Amino acid sequence: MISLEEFVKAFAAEFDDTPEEVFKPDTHFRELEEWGSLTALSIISMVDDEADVVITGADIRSCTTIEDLYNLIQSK
Amino acid sequence: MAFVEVNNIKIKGLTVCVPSNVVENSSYTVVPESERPAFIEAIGIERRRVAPEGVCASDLCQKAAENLISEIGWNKEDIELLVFVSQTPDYRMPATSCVLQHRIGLPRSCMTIDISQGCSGYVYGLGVAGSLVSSGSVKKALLLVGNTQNKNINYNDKSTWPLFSDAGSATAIEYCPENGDNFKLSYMADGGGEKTIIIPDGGYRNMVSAESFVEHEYEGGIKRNNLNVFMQGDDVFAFVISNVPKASRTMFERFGIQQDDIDYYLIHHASKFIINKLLKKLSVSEGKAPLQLKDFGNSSNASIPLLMCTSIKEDALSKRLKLYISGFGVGLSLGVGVITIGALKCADIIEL
Repeated sequence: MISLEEFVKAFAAEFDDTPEEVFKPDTHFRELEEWGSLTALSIISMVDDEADVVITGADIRSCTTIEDLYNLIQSK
Repeated sequence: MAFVEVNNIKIKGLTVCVPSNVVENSSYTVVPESERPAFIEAIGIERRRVAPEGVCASDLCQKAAENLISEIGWNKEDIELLVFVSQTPDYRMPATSCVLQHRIGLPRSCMTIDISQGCSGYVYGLGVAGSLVSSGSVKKALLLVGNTQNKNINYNDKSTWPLFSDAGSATAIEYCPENGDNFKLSYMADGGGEKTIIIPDGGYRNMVSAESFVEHEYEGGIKRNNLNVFMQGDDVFAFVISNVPKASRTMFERFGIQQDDIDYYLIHHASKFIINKLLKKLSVSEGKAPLQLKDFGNSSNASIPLLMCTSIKEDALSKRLKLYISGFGVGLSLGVGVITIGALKCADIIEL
């Protein structure tokens, strides 16, 4: 499993318009302007590639920050 | 996984019928004009076929069946089985397959079956109709598969409105004990995802009431009522990527199929995102997975026959092909398989 820092980087890479420096472990990602149903799919896909874990839409909706999501993936 | 192997049959031909009415996503006013090009690029769907009021899946399937029967020269009197796979039947009762027996002019000696499946429906239909023919007791069967899901979509729901295309298909399957085709199929269901794609009201669990027609607003400005389709896209995606590659690999192993021997991958056109991810996870080489997403969007259970009658039509008419097929979605339900077919007598796409 990748580190939290690497995860935040991989998370940021799925966004086209939001600058990378916006992304921190405590970023409330669902409040980002670019966040939407398609970015959610990109994140599910990225997690599958990076961690070989399939998270659901409900998993994402249960998380507030990027770190929450990272912890959830580690618990799977 | 349930495995179904079907031998001693042949697909004589097929036809797909789409509505002539084309709807352009570039004119979808719910998405601001400046954002529309990027939106269309992201979903990969430029235009769709939408059945006008009064045109049902059964009408599209009927027209496809009439063209097919005449092109392959079948005598209607010989058709002993009609299987209709759809989630947009004419009525809650009677069964649409029964209604179609009369409308197409099939004999009253015909056995008729309705199967309620959406995107996985073509794979289910091949398994059921094929198995009934393979024993030889039924010699000629018509498999009619189609949906007019646009009838259930709310214009103000951008998570569904730009995606779906209406279509009906007809596939002729006959008993063929020598040098026939074969279907190697595999299925699974996960009813735990019943609410992932659902029309909540209008069945017998939640019967139609005045409340069913009340439009509610959801996240992202989406509006719909309880007679509209609701789809939780991210959960569909998670279901597909965690199950379809695994189910496919298990099916390859069970039937001893080498992926290199597959001529084409006909993957249900759920969305651009899902297709691309599946191609990657299944290690499909470029050029082996034809796409019709741009012009036909998600044609639900008719996606696979639509690909056969468009992208690979010439090959399907002229030679034998080993085709990977997969359908997945509402249920949640999935069917994957490898079918060996070819030298079809008909692979037409027509309009109504």
